[in-house]
Amino acid sequence: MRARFAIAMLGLCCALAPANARSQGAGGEAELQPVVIEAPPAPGEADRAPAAATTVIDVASQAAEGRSTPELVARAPGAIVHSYGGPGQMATLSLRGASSAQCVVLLDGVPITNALTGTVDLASLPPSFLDRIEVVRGVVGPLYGPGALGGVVNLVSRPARGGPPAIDAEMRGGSFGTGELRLAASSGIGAGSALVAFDGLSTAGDFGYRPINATDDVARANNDARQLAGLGRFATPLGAGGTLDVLVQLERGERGLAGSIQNPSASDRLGDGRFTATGRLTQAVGPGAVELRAFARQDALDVTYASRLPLHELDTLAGAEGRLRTRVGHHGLSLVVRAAGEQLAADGSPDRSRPDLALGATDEWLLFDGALSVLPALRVDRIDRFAGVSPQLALAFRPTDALELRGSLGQSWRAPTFAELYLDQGLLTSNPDLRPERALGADLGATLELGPVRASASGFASEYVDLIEYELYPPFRAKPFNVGTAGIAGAEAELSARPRRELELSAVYTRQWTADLYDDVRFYQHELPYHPHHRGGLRAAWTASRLTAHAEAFAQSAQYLSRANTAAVGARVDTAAGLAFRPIAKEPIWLGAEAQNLFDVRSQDLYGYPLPGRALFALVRIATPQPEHP
Amino acid sequence: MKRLIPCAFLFAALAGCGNTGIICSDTEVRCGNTCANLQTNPDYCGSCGQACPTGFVCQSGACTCPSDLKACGQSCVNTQNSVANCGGCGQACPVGQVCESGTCKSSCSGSSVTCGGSCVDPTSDRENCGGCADGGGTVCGQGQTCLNGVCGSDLFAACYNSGELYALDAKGEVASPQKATAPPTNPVGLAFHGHDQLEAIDLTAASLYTFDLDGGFGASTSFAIGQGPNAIAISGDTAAVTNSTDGTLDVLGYATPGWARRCAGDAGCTASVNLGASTFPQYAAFGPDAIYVSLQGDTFAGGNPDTVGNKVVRVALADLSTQSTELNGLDLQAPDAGTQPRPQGLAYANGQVFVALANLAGYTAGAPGLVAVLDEPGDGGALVPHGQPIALGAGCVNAGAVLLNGTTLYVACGPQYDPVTYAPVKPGALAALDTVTLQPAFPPRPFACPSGATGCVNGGASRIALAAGKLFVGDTADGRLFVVDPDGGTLERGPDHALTLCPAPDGGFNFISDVVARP
Repeated sequence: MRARFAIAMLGLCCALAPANARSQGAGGEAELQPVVIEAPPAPGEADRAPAAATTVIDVASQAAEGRSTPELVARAPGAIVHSYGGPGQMATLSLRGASSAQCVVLLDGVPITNALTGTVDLASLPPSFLDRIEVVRGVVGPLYGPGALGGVVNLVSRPARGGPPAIDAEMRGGSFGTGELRLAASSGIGAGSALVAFDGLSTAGDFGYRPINATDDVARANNDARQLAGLGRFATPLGAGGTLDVLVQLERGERGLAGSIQNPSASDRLGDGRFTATGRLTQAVGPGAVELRAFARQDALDVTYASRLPLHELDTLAGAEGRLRTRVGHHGLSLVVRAAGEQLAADGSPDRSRPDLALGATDEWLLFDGALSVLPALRVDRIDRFAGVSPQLALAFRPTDALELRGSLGQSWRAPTFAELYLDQGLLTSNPDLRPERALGADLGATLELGPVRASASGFASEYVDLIEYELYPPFRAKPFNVGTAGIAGAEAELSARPRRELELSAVYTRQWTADLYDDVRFYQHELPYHPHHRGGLRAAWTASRLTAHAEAFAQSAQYLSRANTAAVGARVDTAAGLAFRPIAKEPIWLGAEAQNLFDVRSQDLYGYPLPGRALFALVRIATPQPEHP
Repeated sequence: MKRLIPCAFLFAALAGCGNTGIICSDTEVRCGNTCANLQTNPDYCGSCGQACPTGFVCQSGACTCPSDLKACGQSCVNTQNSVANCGGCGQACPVGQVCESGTCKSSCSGSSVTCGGSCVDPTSDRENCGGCADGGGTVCGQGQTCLNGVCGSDLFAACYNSGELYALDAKGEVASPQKATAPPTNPVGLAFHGHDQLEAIDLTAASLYTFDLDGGFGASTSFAIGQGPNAIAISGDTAAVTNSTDGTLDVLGYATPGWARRCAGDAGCTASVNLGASTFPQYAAFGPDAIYVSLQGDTFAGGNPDTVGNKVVRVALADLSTQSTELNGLDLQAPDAGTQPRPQGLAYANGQVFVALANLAGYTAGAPGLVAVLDEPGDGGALVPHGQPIALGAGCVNAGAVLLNGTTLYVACGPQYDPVTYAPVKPGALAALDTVTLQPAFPPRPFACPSGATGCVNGGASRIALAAGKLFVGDTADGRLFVVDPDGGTLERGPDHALTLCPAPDGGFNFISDVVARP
């Protein structure tokens, strides 16, 4: 039995500076940051949750570091990313202890949760397309809809830029046969602006690991991955305060399913693809604005097994959303109406579709000259036969310009996935009698900004009921049942400082307490599996006109692998350091190198998936100067 | 403390802080201040307010008599020795006579003793165990029988999903309301170490739990074993546990106070026997000098099952060295090349190892259930196939666990699964092989519901035990035990009136993963 992990973890992490802090850092230094964030970004969702604990990860300004999307998300407090095998391999998200299925991942506002698995593979999302990542934590269903029991990750694409043509190209290569090419070009077109981007990744993934009971390392086999992705974006003003923003993204990937250490797979393969399109029309109306958005997404999944029938799945989502924001006296009102439909076609099951309707309202009631905000929110959703109400009440108090105190109480729910309800395939069977999962949560937090120093801390507690868990259904299969109740509490802290204009230091720490509250003597008050007590890290970044450098270390404690709290996967530390420099002052060419897992720590993630040892990468980047204004 | 932290930080209504009082297992209900299984508890039989009359037992939520007793009015009576109901209800013996074998006599014969006019054997009589009940003997409780003058259960069953272990009286076919109070999480295998030590391996917890039945069913110790344990076999003070996920065999030796890994040469005592990645070892059986292990191979992932599975491995007890025997070349009586042997349960007898072949194509039955016979060469080398495998008969597919009794090998078959959904499409069955003639001892007996039976679910077959002269077969489709006559294979308790032990958790599912007889 594992002893309770009580050591303090290294703190960690990352930039995490808010959007306004970012613009300060870049001020007047267009050359320092080849990709400038200056055009109005695509609408983030974080602005809709002023009382939620939100971390904004500036992806564009860290592009030279070559980190993957899962690695970037993992820099946020409250976020745990489970990785299944190294570069290009699947990685899933947990926010505030909620499972991947209990978190919403949005790509420019469009939910990209796979209907089959109920999860999002963060590794399938190229970071080179992203401007920033907003990690909103808490029971925020009233703001984001069903599924947001633990929080929301909103991936915000790079904006289309005006002005003369500009390019940003980067080529990387290094360990495990990994190579990546990233291209982005933007230009003004008439009154509008356009962006096209491409990302291609290939890796053999053949890092060394130690099989069970073996004395020597062997190379990971069938762990290769390839990924191609493209993005196109066009934005234009329409006059009279209106804008149109159209975005299309395509992604296609293929990779080996290498299996666990104990039972490696020699030939199982997975292919996936995603098409996402959004069109957004924004029109200023009086003191507010109206936003109309149409969206469509299609996900394809093809899995082939050496000794099982293949699995094919096509998930299609389309819908529209209207949002009105206005101000009436001391009230900032927002109304949202949404109508969408989702369809799943999968082997072994008839096609399934279900409507998704929502009506929600939020208010930001300013009192005491804006020092106190009262934020009630209510949303009603209906997904097929499941209907739910998600209420929330939040308070934000700003006694001084530097300090903000906030708290919220809310409830959210998650409808069972298509697979949980209907899909009998492979090892899984379905249960059409499932009920939605529900969560009730509260949090308290404070943010202090003193000059170049920003600190924030928050605590939370949530209760989850009717959790859907798979139970063995003999002799091979598993079937989902509403057999879980859990309590999760935690604390999160972030600290960032910019003692010099070029230097940014940051730290982040997360502590979680979990308890299985299901009425069963075998599990009651046990810890929940897959929930490390501690995660934290430190990060330092130097950004000057001809040199950038960074170093970071993240650590997380051990975590149980079963409700019985017996088997556990151990603690681990992830480290990285790198630098890039511009050898010729007048040329926009950067040369760089990055080292990951500096101390060659051999560790595993869940289910016995080994993680790669030390890795080295080199990069060449050409980034033409960007205009300061579109 | 764990719960106080979140409670202190916000409000007591969150995180279950208000959840106080007793915590029952998922298959029990709260009846006042106690937890009760309404299927088996005679004090709360069927509902919290329903208590069974004295002498009655609670079976499947109804008050009834044990199968070897008869209801005479409000009493359960052994008409074989009841002086008031000798040979039948109301047939009282004349004053001064005793009742023996359903007949009134003037005195008891042989070693029988007289207890209140009944001729009883105090070494085996439940009502007068160890002596007459009014003279220092004991009336055994529900689910207990009299074992050499001491009350105890002679049959044990494990419920996988609920983690419960049940004790039974095999003769009376009644489960005890008492179960393990510190249960495993998901028990998958049972075995006895000696007469009083029940061992249970737990799939989720990857642990071996030891229950000292002398010290109470609830007292247990645990020992960490490999991941994915599937089956346990014990011979003397040596235990063998197959770890299907790890691809290992744990060979354990017992010395007070508990189990410890045996050493493999100079490798130290901490390592398991490595059978290889993706081998998925299933069952183990002891021979005089070796442990035999079936390697199913990887039906789930693409681990190259043709080369790493479909073998039987001989693990020498002397040095834990291994020799493997390939089964892929055998005639599987399969219509296509996709079928693979997938060896499962095995047993040793007289220099031969008998191994059940599931004969699967992927997950579904690719061909009839077979038994392969392998000869032990006696020189420490690998086993040698003894001809081609033997078909167990129509109705036996997906052969799994085995039980050897005398010269008869009983085999749990099926059910058969749909190749796409893996839902059971045909019921399981019990087959039998005469190990001398190498012919089926009787045709496979399917655990099928009688035609027209409403609400009846066809049964599967997990594992087999022989107790009180009856075969007990665990059900994979529900928490039931089937009872079969070992001689002719007659189904005494089929799916429509099986012993119901493991109720499904609220809205969930349960099945019997193993059943074992007390030696």
